Amino acid sequence: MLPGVVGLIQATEVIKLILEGGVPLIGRLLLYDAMKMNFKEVRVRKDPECVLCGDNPSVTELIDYKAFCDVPLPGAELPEDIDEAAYGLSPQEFKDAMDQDPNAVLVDVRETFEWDICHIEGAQLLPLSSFDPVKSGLGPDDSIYLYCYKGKRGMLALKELKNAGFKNLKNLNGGIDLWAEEVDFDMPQY
Amino acid sequence: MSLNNEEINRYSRHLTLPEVGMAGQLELKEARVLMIGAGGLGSPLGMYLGAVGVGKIGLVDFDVVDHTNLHRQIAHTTSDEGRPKVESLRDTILAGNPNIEVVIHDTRLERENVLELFSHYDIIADGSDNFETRYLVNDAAYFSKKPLVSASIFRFQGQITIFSPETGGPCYRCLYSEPPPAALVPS
Amino acid sequence: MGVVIEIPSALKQYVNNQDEVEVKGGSVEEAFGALCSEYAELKSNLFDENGKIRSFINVYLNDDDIRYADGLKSEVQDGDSIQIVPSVAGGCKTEK
Repeated sequence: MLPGVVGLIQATEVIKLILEGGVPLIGRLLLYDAMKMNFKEVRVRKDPECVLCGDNPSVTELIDYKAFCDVPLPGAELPEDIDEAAYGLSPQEFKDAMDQDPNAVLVDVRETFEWDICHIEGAQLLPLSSFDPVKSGLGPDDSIYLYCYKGKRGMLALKELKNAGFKNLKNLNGGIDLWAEEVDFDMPQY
Repeated sequence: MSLNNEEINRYSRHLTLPEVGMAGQLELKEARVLMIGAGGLGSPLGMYLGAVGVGKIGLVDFDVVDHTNLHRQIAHTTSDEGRPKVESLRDTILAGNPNIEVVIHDTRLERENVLELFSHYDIIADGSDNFETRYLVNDAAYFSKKPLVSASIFRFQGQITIFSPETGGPCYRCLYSEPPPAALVPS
Repeated sequence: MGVVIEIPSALKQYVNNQDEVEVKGGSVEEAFGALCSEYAELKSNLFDENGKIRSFINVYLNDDDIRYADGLKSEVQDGDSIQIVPSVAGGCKTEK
């Protein structure tokens, strides 16, 4: 419902610009919070140092926006880069490997609200947001099978585990979403 | 430009408002608004702009309607699943008001096509869902000297403002000089 | 009574999901210092490695951007409100 409220405020401002009526939302940022049900307004000033519309612009034509937005996380320790293909298994491969592995430990690294929607039977929940290989309770001899929603977070957790010295690691390619399409047809998708 | 009898009847509650009136209704009919995004924000935005009689509405989006969109992107119905969002939204808008023109652009907005696209419109309304598009739209609106009505949402919070450097107002880069690191953006 | 810092939903996870946190301090910097000493994880999300507010986050003291006052040194008084507003571009998509 949030986009409804926000989209209609946007529509109102478009109409006001066309009609040149009222006080347009220029130089003001309207903040809407549905949970608190309040509106706040903060002032937005024209920045004289703006690289586009400031006094000495450096952006004088359209740029490469993909590169501009691909900002690395400064100061963050990125996990060692690994050959992801060597650790990723398709849903069927993942299931077969797990079924034949007596040391298999299945780990779900999604968040609790996602776990509550659906999860693979026998898994334990270790959300990536608070993931810590040392405190995870996982043992060095465990054969760890990781999964998340689409595969990305599982691989991040896998890199952390690898850096912490864990050896037997697998990640579910495509996550629980692909698992629902290819292995467990009763699993809901979200 | 003028209104036919059906339009006069349709917009009669506008025509009797001093803030709109016949002159205002004709301004709405002459207006050309380009909407970036035909999803959560674009649904109510497009439906209302169409209903009130904005003469030409452009829709840019390359996505198709997914089952998980339906609970919030209210212009799209269950039977629209799999259709391009711009087509689905266009049909909803025209069902509400067949007097207007809706032009669809079933394409990704790129630096190669954005300026040409903007040249056919007077006002840009951004309801896109990523930073690349937001900075592209901002810069293109600035170079095209067109006001940009910008709205964005995250979970239960929304932000709305108008960027209008040509009238002395700020642009998106004045507000946020850089996007967040990609690793922090929920995608 | 102290200074109320309003936390946006994107950062609420670092402050036990609170909407706002009341702290003591004579400047925005002191108020943030108090906030981050209580919620350490928040620090790297608010500040870059040089101790500057991250460029995609704006801080408003009583509705005006501190960039146009004295930045982090801007003085605050009891009863003031500090609003943290991050750049958002969405979208209601879930994480991959």
